[in-house]
Amino acid sequence: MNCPSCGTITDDTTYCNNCKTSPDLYKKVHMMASRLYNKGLKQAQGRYLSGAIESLSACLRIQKHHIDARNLLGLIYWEIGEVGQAIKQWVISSSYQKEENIAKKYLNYIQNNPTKLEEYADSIHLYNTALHYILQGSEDIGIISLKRAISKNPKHITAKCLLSLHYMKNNQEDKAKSLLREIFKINRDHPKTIKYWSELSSTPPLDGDEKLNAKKTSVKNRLQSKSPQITPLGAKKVENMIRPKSLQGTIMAFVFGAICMLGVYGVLIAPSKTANLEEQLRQAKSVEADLEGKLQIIIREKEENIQKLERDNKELAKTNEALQKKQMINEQIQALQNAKNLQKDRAWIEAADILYTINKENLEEESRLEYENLIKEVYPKAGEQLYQMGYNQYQRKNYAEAKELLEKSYLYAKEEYFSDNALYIIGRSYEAEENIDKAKQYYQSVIEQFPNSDSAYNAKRRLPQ
Amino acid sequence: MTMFDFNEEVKKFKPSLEVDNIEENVQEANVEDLLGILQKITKAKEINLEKE
Repeated sequence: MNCPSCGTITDDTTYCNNCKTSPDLYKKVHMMASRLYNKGLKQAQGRYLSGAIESLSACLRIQKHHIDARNLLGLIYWEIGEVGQAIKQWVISSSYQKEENIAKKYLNYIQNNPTKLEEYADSIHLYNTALHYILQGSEDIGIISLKRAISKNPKHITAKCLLSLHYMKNNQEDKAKSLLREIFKINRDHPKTIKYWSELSSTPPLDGDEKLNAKKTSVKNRLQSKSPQITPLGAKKVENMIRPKSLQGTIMAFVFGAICMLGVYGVLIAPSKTANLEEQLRQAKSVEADLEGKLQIIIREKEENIQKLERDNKELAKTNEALQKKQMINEQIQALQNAKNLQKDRAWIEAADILYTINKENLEEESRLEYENLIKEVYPKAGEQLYQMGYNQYQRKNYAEAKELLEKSYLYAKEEYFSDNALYIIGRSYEAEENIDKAKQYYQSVIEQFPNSDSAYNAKRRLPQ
Repeated sequence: MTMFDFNEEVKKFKPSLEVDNIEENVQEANVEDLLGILQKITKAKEINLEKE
């Protein structure tokens, strides 16, 4: 026969001289492991995942290099949201068998989906945080974390189970049942879930689930009664199994395994984390770019608004200016009308005072002609009246009043027969007030503007004084 | 509704293995399996027989 451990031909079934092991014992142990693996596989296929975890863990305690058992165990952990445990099993599996190992495919999947891994890892972290808070007595905060954990990974059954316990405590039976049903759909024999369900209801959680009913009464008995399908101990399988080692060899294998772990960590997990961080950085940059874009839009809109307001403001200023001008024209037309009325009443001085305030540039052609005709008629007459009044005041020795009236007379009438005399009498009034400098200025003006007049002659006579 | 003690029940929940802690957990998990133990026993037996 061939030794199942090393493949060497040997007649002794109790001891192999080549690999120093017992072929009989080896076969028995291998069969035990295979039986447990088959049981675990069948349980997993029926979604009795808690039982499957138990069976596969037992298988691995007997034969830790059972690659299929380890990979399946990882897959089950992944299914129930225990991502850390899943990756752990696949990493160990990859270190034991580097070629043709589906664990590598799983790890590659994780590596290529950093966002998903991050969400699942967050779910575990949130669950642990929630558990911590609840145990500390901060149940309200814990429940918030728990709900977030479930939203990150809806298959995280432990988180769901804890949340259902919270609902049960708060008499929210429907919510608790709904969560427990969701767990049953993933894992039919989760012990805590079965226990909680039995507290809430005597009917099966899922329709037509008679197996689960039976499960509730005795999970372990039912599982143990199943007849396992033992994997045939083929030569290829034997080759894949671990060779017995010396103590030194075991230590070497341990060191080699540890190095492999670090290698796998460096190759698979660290790049995944780096990719994750890079993804986060990319997202942050994307958000920053979006915000920058929005900011630019807001700034542009603001600038456009400012420009529009400035345009509106200019328009309003123009309108205001036009209205003011219009109002002024109306006022001037009104003033012209008043002056006309005063002219009719022969109130020449008042009419002249009003006409003096009118700016003819603001008048339309027709009004301007009216204005000029009024000026020609009113100003000389007003000037004459003022001259007479001023002269009377001078005679009464009221020099201040005389000056004021005569100044006004000269303002309205500069080329009339009395204009030279008006200036001369102003000079005389200053002289009477002993303001000789001012008097001289007026005498000089008379001489210059009316050189051939009598007033000029008189002014010349008074200048040397 | 029949209720059990929430606080007692919560204590039965254990923290999950976080992804950041996989590395040290993998190293801790590298224990001897039954097959390895049996092989050691067989080898020890052989040494004893040789001595005798």
